[in-house]
Amino acid sequence: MAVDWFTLVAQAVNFLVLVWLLKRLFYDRIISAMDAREAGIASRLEEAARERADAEREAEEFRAKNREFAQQREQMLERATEEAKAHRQELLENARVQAGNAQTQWLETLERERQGLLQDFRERVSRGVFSLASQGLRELADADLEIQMMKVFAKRVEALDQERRETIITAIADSDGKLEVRTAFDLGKQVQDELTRTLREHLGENVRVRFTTVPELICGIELRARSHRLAWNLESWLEGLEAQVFETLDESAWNHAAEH
Amino acid sequence: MSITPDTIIYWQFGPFAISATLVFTWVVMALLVGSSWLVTRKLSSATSVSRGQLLMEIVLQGIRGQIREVVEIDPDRYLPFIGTLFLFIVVSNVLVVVPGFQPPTGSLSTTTALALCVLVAVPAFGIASNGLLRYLKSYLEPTAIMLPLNIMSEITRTISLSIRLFGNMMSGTMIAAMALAIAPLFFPVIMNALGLLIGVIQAYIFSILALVYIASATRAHEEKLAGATNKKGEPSHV
Repeated sequence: MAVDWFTLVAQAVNFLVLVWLLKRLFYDRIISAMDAREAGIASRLEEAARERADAEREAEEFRAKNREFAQQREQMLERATEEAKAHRQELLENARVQAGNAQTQWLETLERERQGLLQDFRERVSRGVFSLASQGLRELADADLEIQMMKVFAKRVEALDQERRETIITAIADSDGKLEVRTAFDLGKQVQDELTRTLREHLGENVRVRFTTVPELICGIELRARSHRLAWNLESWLEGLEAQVFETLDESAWNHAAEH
Repeated sequence: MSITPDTIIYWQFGPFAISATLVFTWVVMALLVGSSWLVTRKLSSATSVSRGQLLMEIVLQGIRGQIREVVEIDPDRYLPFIGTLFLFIVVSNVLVVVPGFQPPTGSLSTTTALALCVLVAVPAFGIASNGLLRYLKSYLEPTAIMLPLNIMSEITRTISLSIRLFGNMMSGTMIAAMALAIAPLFFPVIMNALGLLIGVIQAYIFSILALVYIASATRAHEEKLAGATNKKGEPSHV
């Protein structure tokens, strides 16, 4: 159990050599490799943190953009809705106006047609009435009636106002004193003379009276001197009446249309 | 049956005898250096490393962690010395399970050589960090009367260091051999397992004690340094 001095020194040297070898081959190399790896990891972590920060910033930007987009979309949608509403309102208004116009037009057309039909009906009725009256009077008329009418006519001539009388006298003078008396029936000599006398009495002594028979007059007498005419017969009376009736009918139709 | 491998002589020339101690020391050295060279030949700084490198890094980090726990400063300064001490002893002790292997730590010459290395390393590290005068002054503390006691403690702790390791490893080998003679079947297995445990523990104890001695020699200076920087208002790096 003694110490071998050579072995002791050799072991000490061995140990120191081992320390030197391991320091060269083991400790230094492993430590530098670990340090390099740690540095690499640290730099990678740093890079990752930086990239993460970048990514978060970008994400924040995108979120902000998204919010903006959503807001814009909301506004656009709102605007579009309002525009659509207004447009619809406008269209409805237009449609209503057009419908009202069409209705008015249709009602007017209807009213016109109704008025036309009414007018036509009235005219037909009037014509019927007048043709009936004309026929009735034609059947009633005869020479005796005409004689009576002649008397009335003589009275009318007598009752002519001064102005009218002058006009007729001037007209007679213009036609060289010729005066034509037209009747529907032949009056007979006596009546003709009597009328001639009355006319000469009131319209001048130089009047040359010529009697003509015109059946269309129905009943009555007409006095013609060139362009002037003094008449009292049923035909002209009926014509006057008819004109008056139609004038009234037209007037009432116009009033009716104006009311609607 | 030999108590120490020093007695197994392979070749002798005068006082220079190549004993089993030296041969098996070279075997252990070759094993450590060879495996280190094999692994560190192709080191990787990437995140994926080879299994060998991983094992080396784990061992290295373990040793660094232990040193840092004791000295509480940068462990890399003591790493080559303390680490090699531990690795040499632990590999020598663990290889006991290999039949025919004679642990070099079972030789008093080896353990004394290692203890002497520690004996030299303690003042070397102390002087390196404190300076020669201040280191020598530490032998006069707390008073000059303590000088012989301090010197004696240096010597005795070196002897105790060497004897402790030698005694443990020698007894382990001896017990295994004796057990083999008495009950050759199962008992030696248990004793060998116990010997492995003791071997690892002794390697740890030897290294830690060496570290504590070195640290105690350097600490006074480190504490003063830390105090000075704190007074200047700068943060302590200790």
